[in-house]
Amino acid sequence: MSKTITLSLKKSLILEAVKADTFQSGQVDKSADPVKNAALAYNEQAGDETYQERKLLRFLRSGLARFAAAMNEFVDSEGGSITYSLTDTGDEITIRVVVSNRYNSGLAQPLSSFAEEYITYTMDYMWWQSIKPAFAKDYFSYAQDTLAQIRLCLAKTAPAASSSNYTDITGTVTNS
Amino acid sequence: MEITLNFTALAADVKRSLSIIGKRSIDENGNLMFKDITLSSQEEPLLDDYFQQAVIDLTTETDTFITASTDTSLTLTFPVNHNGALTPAITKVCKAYCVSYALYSWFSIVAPRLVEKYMGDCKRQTGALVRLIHNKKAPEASEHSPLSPTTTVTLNS
Repeated sequence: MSKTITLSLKKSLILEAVKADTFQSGQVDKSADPVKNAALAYNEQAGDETYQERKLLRFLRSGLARFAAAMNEFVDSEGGSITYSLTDTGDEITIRVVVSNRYNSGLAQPLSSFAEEYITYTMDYMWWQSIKPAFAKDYFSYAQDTLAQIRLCLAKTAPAASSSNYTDITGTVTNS
Repeated sequence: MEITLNFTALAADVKRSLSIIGKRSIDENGNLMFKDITLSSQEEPLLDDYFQQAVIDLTTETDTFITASTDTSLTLTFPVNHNGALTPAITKVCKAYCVSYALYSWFSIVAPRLVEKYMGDCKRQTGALVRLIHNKKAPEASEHSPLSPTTTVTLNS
């Protein structure tokens, strides 16, 4: 027996989040010195340039793969699996994690939110790693913190009670 | 977008400025500088040289976005999220730079005390150009709400 956790995320929301995070950073840098930092801000702000869009898709692919790898320890040891879908044209990202049937599904709701957060921060981390490594460290920490939250949500329930009672245990002595 | 720089029209702008400045400028001896400052007909072709240099400067400043160019025009191609409302200003600042650069170059020869003002204009205009081209609008919203991610759990038999 096992359970399947299905996380339903949107590609466009994750890409928008990374663009918004980097857009804001660029705007802050621009406001510090509008003339000197205009080109800097432009290059910090992810997206629109074709090569940057492709880079973001690469980061999305990697972020999702990293999430799947991080889930490894929770996969059911008997026949468990992690699968996910990511296509060029579709907006839907579906992640399926097959876990033990002792998984406490009462903690399921935050998982999709944390999964999206983890992938977004991982992408932010990768983006800044290639531009401003000092920023990247912060996003790496955010991603790790989110992973810690994900672990908290993947708790097991107590073992199910046996269908027999303790009082059912009997012993017999047979004289030979 | 294509920026066409009409050298004849730009020369007319430069000559108009020179005649106004010439009428109002006097040298240290109190003599009117009109004759020194305005261009003679033999000197006028010099403006084309200045404009050509200015076009090289503009090409350098916009290099990331240039997809075609001629001696008197630049074609800039921006990503989809560039703010289109800025394109008229881009054309204007390129033209203004050509005029300022010509005035700056000419005053370097005939009226050095006027140089500083036009050098400042050139610097400000290239700064404005760099800002206008390096522009991205805020990212477009996804059609989905940020609240849309969901989790479902099913028990496998």
